[in-house]
Amino acid sequence: MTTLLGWTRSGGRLPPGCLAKRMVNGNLVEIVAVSELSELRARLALLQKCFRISDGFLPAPLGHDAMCTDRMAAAFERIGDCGQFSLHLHFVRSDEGAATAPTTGRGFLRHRRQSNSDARKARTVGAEVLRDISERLKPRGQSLRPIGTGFAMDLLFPRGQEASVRNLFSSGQLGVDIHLGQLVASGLWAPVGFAAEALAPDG
Amino acid sequence: MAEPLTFDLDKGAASLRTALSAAAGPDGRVEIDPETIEQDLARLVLGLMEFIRQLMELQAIRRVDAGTLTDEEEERIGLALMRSEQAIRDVAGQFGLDPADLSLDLGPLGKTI
Repeated sequence: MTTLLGWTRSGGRLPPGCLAKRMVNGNLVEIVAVSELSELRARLALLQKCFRISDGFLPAPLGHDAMCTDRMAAAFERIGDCGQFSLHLHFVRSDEGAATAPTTGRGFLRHRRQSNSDARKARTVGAEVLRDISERLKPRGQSLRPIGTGFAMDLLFPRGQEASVRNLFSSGQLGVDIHLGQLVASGLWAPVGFAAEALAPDG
Repeated sequence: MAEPLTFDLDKGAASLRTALSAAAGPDGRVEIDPETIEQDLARLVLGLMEFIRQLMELQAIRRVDAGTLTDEEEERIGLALMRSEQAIRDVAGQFGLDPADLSLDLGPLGKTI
């Protein structure tokens, strides 16, 4: 059983460990791993190699073996020449590092009520912070979602913009002052999140 | 006598169904690794218990805010919730699970904890 990695333009370079299996739509070829990949991180590593080495790459969503080629071709047109940066905003809970935990039942309920209230405020502010960053960066696409301890946002950029976006992140020019938690930016990744959305069966 | 804590059974049941579906594989079956079966089952069961405990906690906080509990009731309910949280964490620890491990992924709905 082969592991489907994604699609690229025919004639393009492929990293070691990958091979072009077949033409699927005009000038696109299906890329698979040479050997079966049992670990997700090995698959992710190959996705990244394909993304870095090819001029255009659309990663296949995990678990998708067969694909509607029309939808795939449209997704490649829109996403294939892009990469994604990911932002994670992690809230610092008000009780993190607290010296004393509540010892009474009433104290426990009041403490939890305060924590919940703080978390609600942080969520509201956090979502606004990330939306503000997105507006400044003007990505081609964005996806904001809550995660366990905060928010995650994927931003889609054409590959040519990578350096300027990275510079904005590293230079602090975004002017974001995060008191409520930690903001971590990572990338550039193959546009896995946007590809999964574009290729979803009901997408 | 203290009025018992209640929560919407229909909503609770729907949440549980979603949690169980999320724990299942693409074919609808729960995926269990024979090598880690005890830990996997403990994670599922304790995750559901913690999820229900948190629903009860939210309901208790709503009742405190609404002023429908006496001081004594607040103390007793709060103590029960606090000790049940500690008990769940203790049992989880015996299976090598951290509190964060009890979070069940509900897909687009996010995580239970």
